[in-house]
Amino acid sequence: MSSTAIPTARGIRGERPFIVFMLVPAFFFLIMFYVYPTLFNLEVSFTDLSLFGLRQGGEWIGIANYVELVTSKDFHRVIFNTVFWLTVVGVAVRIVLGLGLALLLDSKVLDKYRLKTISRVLLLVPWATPPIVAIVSWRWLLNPQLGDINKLLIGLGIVEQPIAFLSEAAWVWPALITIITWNTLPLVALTFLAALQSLPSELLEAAEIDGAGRWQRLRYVILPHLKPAIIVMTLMSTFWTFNNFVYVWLTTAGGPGLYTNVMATEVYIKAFIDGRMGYSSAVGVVMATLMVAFGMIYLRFIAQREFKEVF
Amino acid sequence: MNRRSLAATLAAFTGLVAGTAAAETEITFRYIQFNADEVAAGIEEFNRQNPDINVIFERIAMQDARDQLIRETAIGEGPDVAHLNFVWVKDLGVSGSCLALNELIETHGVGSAGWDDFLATDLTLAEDGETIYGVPFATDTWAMVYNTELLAAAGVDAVPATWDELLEASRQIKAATGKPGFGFASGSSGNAEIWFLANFFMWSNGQALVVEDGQGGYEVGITAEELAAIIDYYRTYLDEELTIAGSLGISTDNDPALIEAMTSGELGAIVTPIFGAVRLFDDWRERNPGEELPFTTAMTPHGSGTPATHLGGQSLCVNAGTEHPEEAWKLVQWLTSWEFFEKYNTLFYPAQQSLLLKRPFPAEMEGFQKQFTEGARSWGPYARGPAAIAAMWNQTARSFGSALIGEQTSMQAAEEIVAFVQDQL
Repeated sequence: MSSTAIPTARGIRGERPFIVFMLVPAFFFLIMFYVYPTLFNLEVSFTDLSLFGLRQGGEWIGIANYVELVTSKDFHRVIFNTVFWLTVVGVAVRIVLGLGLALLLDSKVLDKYRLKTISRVLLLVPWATPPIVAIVSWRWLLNPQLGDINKLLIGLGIVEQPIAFLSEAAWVWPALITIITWNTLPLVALTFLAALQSLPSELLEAAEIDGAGRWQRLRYVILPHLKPAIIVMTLMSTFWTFNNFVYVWLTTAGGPGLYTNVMATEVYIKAFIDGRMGYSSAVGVVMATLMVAFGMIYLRFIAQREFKEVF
Repeated sequence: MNRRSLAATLAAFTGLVAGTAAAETEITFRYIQFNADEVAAGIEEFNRQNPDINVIFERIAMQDARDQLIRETAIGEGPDVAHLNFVWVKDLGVSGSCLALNELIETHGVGSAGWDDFLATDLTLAEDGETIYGVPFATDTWAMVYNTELLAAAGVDAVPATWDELLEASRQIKAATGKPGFGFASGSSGNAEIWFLANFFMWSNGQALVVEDGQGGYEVGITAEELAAIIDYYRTYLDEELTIAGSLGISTDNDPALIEAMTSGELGAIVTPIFGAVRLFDDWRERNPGEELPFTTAMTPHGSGTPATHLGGQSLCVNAGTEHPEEAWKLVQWLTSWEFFEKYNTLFYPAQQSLLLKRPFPAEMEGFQKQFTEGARSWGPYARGPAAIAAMWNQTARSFGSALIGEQTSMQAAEEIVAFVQDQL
């Protein structure tokens, strides 16, 4: 039972002016820097505002931008790229590899060879590398003529001709996801590692005494224990990945053609290359709406979890 | 030093600093090309010659320059003088980012021989044909650079004159040496070079994406079938491995993959701007001191018409919101002077006919000189028409890209481009 005293409804009512007063600064910044821009963006999405007409403003065109967006086959592909490739595949790869890496880092093998500390330090290197540095480095590594990966593949006799990883349709998404995963995997792995270390060793010992093998211990003891961490990391990774602009833009700029174009890069292309701020805002609104849906799932999960923890 | 004399010294120093600050007008100049060190030295010289003006030199990546200026000027910020691509000036003038310069030109004059001496002035005018939003600064065009050793090894006696001959020469180079014949960037992002290649091909066949319709308007000057043939032409190089591997992954002519392949003799030919060729030759000479340059330059190939590339370059724009138009104009005058080009901008050619005569092309650049005088055209209707060049550029590059990777057919991609431009017009 929790020892924290739960305030009564009467007590809360008495504190209301103070609570409101304390919340004013936070609400002020929230309204100024989040609510107002969001509403402004929504308004712009119903206009034909152009990049070259920022001073003149745009004319009200109703839902024309949304109609165009929904009927555009390019936009359907953008949605597919964002949801399937970038988010579903990207997040799944990160969660699975992160879990594997966490299990490896927590294993007794590394302990036995005194590699525990060094492996954890090494794991932090990609995380500490700024995305721009990671992307530029990977672009060089994957370069068909000058890249070390192609030199290695040719040297080992695996391929005869260099592979244009960032321009061939068959390779570009796997290459892009590799770059994103390399740079962001450590956080996922470290989160799982922290959760693993909170697993009481008695549970594993008891399972072992009961005759559980490695696979059964993983399935019936470790994974259930990691379940909350896996769900939180999946939802948080979904947020970061779905909104991601930097990795896609700096690696492929949405190309070849529009093969890797995602919603975030579509917003940029429409606003700053085609100069269509109104249409771009409509894409942004759709993007935000999808994120709100994800957000509600996330909040529901967090709220349920906190409710269970408190009571 | 006692306290009194220390205080007096401090007071005198403070007064001196304050006096200097009060006398100086600070303006900002933002530059987009890569020879920033050279130009920065020219700005320092300007500051020395004009002690009452202090120019702060800023550098920005070319691909970000236009949008950044629009965003800044919309809220009254931005550099006092901005360096821009030729084709951005009209849009930036109309958007209210660039100051109308007619009054300053009339009052103070411009360039070494007046406004009519400048090249590509049509790209600096508003739709009324009179309001001037920019001053042409530097100019360039594109031409071919061939590796003479690879041409000889393949038994190609003369540089290709037509697009078909270029394709055939590339096949011969591939067959004789195993090396790609014609290197180009077919990627679709950023400043996608394929946009230029597509237009060079069109223009040399008497076609164009945007033409005047004869009734004061504009129309698409190429059919989808003709455009599809152009896509197929460039795709042949990819399909037959006649261009560098990974061509689809690079978008600019100065990508290290292309330049390194040329410098190391692994590639038969490239198409590049003047400064690209100059840098290539300099790099090669640095690696091979005392040896004879194994390159020759020539005009771009042609189709049923004559070779045609664009008269490219950059302009200078004065921020519409500047508080110091006179000082900004003084800087523009310095930047367009012969002294500045002679000492501080040696890589680029001035966009003034009288100054161009003072900077003859070296013998190895003969092909560029010929292209410049006989085969370079203005973007003309592209820039004057209602469609933003950046949008057509992006659409063309994206559609080419999707066809080149086989995501859609050449015909579908061509129809997409034609429909897009038609819609814009």
